[in-house]
Amino acid sequence: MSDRQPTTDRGRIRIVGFDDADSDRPGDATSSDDGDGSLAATAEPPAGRTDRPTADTQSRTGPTAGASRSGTALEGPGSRSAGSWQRFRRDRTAMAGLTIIVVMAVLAVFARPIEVSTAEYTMTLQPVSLAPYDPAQPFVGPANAPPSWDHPFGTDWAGRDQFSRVLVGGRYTLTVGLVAVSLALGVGIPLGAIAGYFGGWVDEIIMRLVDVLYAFPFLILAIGTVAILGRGFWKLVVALVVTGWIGYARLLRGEVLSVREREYVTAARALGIPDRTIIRRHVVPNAITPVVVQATLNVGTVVLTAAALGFLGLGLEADTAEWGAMLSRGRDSLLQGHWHVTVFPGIAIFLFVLAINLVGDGVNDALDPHRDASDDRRRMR
Amino acid sequence: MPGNSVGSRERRPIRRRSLLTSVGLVGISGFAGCIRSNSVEADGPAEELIQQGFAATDTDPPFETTIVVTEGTERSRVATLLKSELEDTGFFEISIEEYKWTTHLDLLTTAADENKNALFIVSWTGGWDPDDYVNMLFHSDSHPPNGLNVNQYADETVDEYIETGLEETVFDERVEIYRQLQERLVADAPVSFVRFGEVTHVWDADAVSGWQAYPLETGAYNAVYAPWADTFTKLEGSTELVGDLGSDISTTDPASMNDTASSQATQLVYEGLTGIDFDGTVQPVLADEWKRLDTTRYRFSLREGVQFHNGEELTAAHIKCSFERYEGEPREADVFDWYGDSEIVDDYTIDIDCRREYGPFERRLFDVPIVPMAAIDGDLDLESTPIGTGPYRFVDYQAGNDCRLERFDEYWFEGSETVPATAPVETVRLEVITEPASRQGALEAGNIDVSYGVPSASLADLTADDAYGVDRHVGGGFDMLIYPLYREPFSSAAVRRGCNMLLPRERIVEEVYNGVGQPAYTPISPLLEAYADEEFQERIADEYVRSP
Amino acid sequence: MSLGRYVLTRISVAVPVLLGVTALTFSFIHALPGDPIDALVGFRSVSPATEASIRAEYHLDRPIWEQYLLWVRNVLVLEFGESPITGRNVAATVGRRLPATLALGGAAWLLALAIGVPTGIVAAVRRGGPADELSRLAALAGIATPNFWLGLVLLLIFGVRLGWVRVIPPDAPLASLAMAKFMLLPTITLGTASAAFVTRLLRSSMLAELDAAYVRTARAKGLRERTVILKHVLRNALLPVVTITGLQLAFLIDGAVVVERIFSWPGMGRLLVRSILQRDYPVIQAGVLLIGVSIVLANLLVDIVYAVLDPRIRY
Repeated sequence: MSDRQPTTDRGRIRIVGFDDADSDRPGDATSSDDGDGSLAATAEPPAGRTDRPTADTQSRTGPTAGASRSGTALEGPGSRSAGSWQRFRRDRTAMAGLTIIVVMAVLAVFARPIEVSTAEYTMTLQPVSLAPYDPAQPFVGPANAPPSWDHPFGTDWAGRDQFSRVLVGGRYTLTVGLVAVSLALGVGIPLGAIAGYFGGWVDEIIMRLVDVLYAFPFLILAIGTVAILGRGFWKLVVALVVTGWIGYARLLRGEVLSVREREYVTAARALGIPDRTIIRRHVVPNAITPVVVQATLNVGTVVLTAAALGFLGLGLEADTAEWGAMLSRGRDSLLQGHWHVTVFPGIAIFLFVLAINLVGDGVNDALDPHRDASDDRRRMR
Repeated sequence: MPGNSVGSRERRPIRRRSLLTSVGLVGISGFAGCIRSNSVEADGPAEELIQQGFAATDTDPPFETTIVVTEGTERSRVATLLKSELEDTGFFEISIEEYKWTTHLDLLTTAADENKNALFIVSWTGGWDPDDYVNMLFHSDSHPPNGLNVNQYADETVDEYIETGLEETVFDERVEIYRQLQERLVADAPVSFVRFGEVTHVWDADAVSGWQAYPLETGAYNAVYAPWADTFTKLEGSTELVGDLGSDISTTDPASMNDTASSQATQLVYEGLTGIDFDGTVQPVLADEWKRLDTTRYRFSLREGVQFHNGEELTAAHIKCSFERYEGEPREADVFDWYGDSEIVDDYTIDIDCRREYGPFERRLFDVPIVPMAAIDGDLDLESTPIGTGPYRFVDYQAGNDCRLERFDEYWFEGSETVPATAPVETVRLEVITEPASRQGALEAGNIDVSYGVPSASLADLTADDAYGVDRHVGGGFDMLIYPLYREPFSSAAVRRGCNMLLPRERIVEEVYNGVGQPAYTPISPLLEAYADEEFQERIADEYVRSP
Repeated sequence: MSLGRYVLTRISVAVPVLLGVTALTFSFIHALPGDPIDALVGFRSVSPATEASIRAEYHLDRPIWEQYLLWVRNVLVLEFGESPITGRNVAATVGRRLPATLALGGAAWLLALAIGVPTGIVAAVRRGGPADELSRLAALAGIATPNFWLGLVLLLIFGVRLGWVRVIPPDAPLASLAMAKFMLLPTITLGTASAAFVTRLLRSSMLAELDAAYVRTARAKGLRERTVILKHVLRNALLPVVTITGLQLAFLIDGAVVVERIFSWPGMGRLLVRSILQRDYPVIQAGVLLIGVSIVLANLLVDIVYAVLDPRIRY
């Protein structure tokens, strides 16, 4: 949402084919004041914005519209995303966020060796071990020791090395965020696309279900889910997915509603292309951008929610070296003056969520420069 | 957990090649150098026992199983230590599952029927009688849903000990029976006893004096004013005592009360025929004396001039009806485990007939509050307005916030040398604070005067601090590890005995509970000294648990 | 369509949603392992006759759908029944907790606006400047801090160490000065993230408006910048903020579950969590229904406010 990139690339002629359907966002089309011959100009503005006069949209998106059109006329989807990548790379804060995440991921992967174990043999897949100690090994040092050279982040109640635990903890935290969001997308995208594309009673049923879930406080739903299933990685993920998909479905449906009336979709339908193919190849790719942005931002939200569930005594298994779990489990030690027990996992979560938000903003600016991420974010909870 | 690859897609294609090469290298070195065999050697007597048991049940190590605990920092820490100790032997591979209390209970009670491969860590709370510590857990009639013998342990000798112990009324005989019972249980090890709990009360020493920790959690607020136990509390500069409760009160009707907080909040409101003081001695409360007429028949003489908070005067009819009121209520076993019939002799004398000779009789009376006729007739709903004969009357309960009690000025006690006739504390307010960290915070900030739930890790600091008074007392409960007897290899007593020897009891008490509590080898709490004195416990521990 | 008819239509749509919510809750809590009887008798041995009579008393012996229909019928006449766990009237239990949660949620919401709106305006006006960057960082920090940690640290510092505020709620009515003082910390804990969202949202919608033609016209007319921004830009830019406000309600209730626990606040969140764990069906049902109604109502209200603020919207 920060610096929007003005550009000198203007006035390209765009040929919109069935395969290259991921054309520009319709908002750009209205800004074709300087001789843009875009065929997509016939498209209507997206659903959520119909309340705004076109003149507004035009002047507002003017300087940024060109940015998303920086590709050449006949380029395929790949090179378009390359353009987005270029924009993303120019965004310094977003790159900083990405760097933090990549570093965290690398540290997590190389923190401890990864082994596959069968009944008789153990095979090491990844032998590097950055963490000085086994994160689960108790009493490698005195209990609750403050940071020192041997234990840079101190030790916890069982004398386990906090530094190793924070490093390895990234594995859980990053995968929880990633897996939960991916699965929620896996549910939300098809349902949202189907609801938006077919409309009618299908839409009615799916959207009423979404409404019902919306009227539930999220944490209550999650607590119930975890209470039914018990704790554990996959159970936590299920709880987060049950509550996570509705936002994507609603968002995508709104976009699909506007996309499905476009010429290339109508044309494809007239040509007798099966609905499944149209949805997969033409509708979803054109409507997905806000969902992608939202999903990126949500990785952070999901991690915070997992931590809140941990605080309420739900979530991952006890004593897992997950950041949220370490933070909520160590809270009694705040009162006893062992500040280091919660500060380091706290900083790790904080940095991660911060980085995800920076990346999310960057993705937003890169993919879709004139939409603001926070617009939809609160809808998602 | 596989390492994830956030951001790797962002790499440019050129780099991909070098990345692939290094992955290849890692793979090769992995195959070359890092495959190792997982065979297990037994080391020490405990592991030899386990090995024997594994051989007898045809189990190949490592045996995969789960430790199931209920939610709570301390219990999950115990599980962590157990896991690490048992995995060190190489015979086990253990995961930990943690559930909310109600879900945990449900798993427990269905575990045997569903053949669940899990060890459970459970805390058991008993009371003032040895039967409390064994009957529900080990008698073969107590298989769920009739009790909490969740691994469906069945042993005729144990059953017999439990039954004769319950019906024995001669003290020395009882002690002998329960000692033999305990030895039998430890030898067979259907469960391992890990730690005896402790009650720990902390109070603001500037404001409160005379406070004592009642050994059972439910009686925490007896210390405010209990003349029958020679106890009362004085306040400095205030007439209101503020205490805490760990959770919301669910109901205040004694016949359906099912949680600790409710019992704590009503402790000062209700009274029974007898009371059990801080040392475990039975004291007269509403009964001023009683005698045994024959093996099952007792005659009680009631205190005269005792008033209920609603103005009724206590008579023998109240006693009879209060007992019989339990029929069909959730807590009916409190009374009908022993109650046969009763006969009103005159207004202040009643004969009670037990169904059978019953060892814990006098102690059980403590748990059965006498309630007014209004409640028995149904005019008064005890669930919202508890009324008894106690030194404090119930004023108000703001759901989730606090519970207020106010001194009952018509209380029967007339004063003695040690305890004044009127309680110095005029009002008692119990604040509901569910978060342990906040409880300690509230005490330190002076928002509450006394707390029974300060995290054990803070006790040492608070004890050293003159501003706080701390009283600790061994409590009426133990933590145990329940083995799945219904499954191999735990069907083998050798495996259980081996595990029992391995449990890091001292370490659990020290590291998890910061020295609060003591290692347990036998079931009955040392609170009941005669049944579990130190000498006895040491002998059992040396013989069955500690490695020679 | 007139506004009145629009409201009616919206309400008629809300009814099936609320039915769905409660039906889902019903099947959901019946899927919870365990039996309310267990929580009720606390695993003591009870004779089968006693158990049967307790079941019958609370209709637990009927099939689920019948229990549900029974419940709906009673709710239609505003009869929420009695909790099998506490034996108390459900409407009274929930009714006592609701004001506490509403007060806390309302205060947090006001705080979010009080911080978010001015910061958002400054960030937009000083776009790209240090004030903008600072507010962006602060907003991101607000989003990235786990609220339970923030709450505990605030409580520790201001309640325990400095002793400026109480650690547990004072013995005072909800609408009193002492209570207002106590509510400061929970409000900050709950409102921080919302304030951050409002800031970012307002900034971006302000930026969009600042580019609009009418702003140029207004400036060209020689109006003072202050007037332009406060009278014209802000009014339009607040529209999306209003939309979000309705959705924030559910968010605030989520946050309340955590905050209520830290600050021992007697609100709905804690009641619901406890009821779920004890399988106190009638209380869960009533609570979820009440929250569902509030969310639906809030969204309806937002749409009406939106319509009033923005004359371009017609129904």
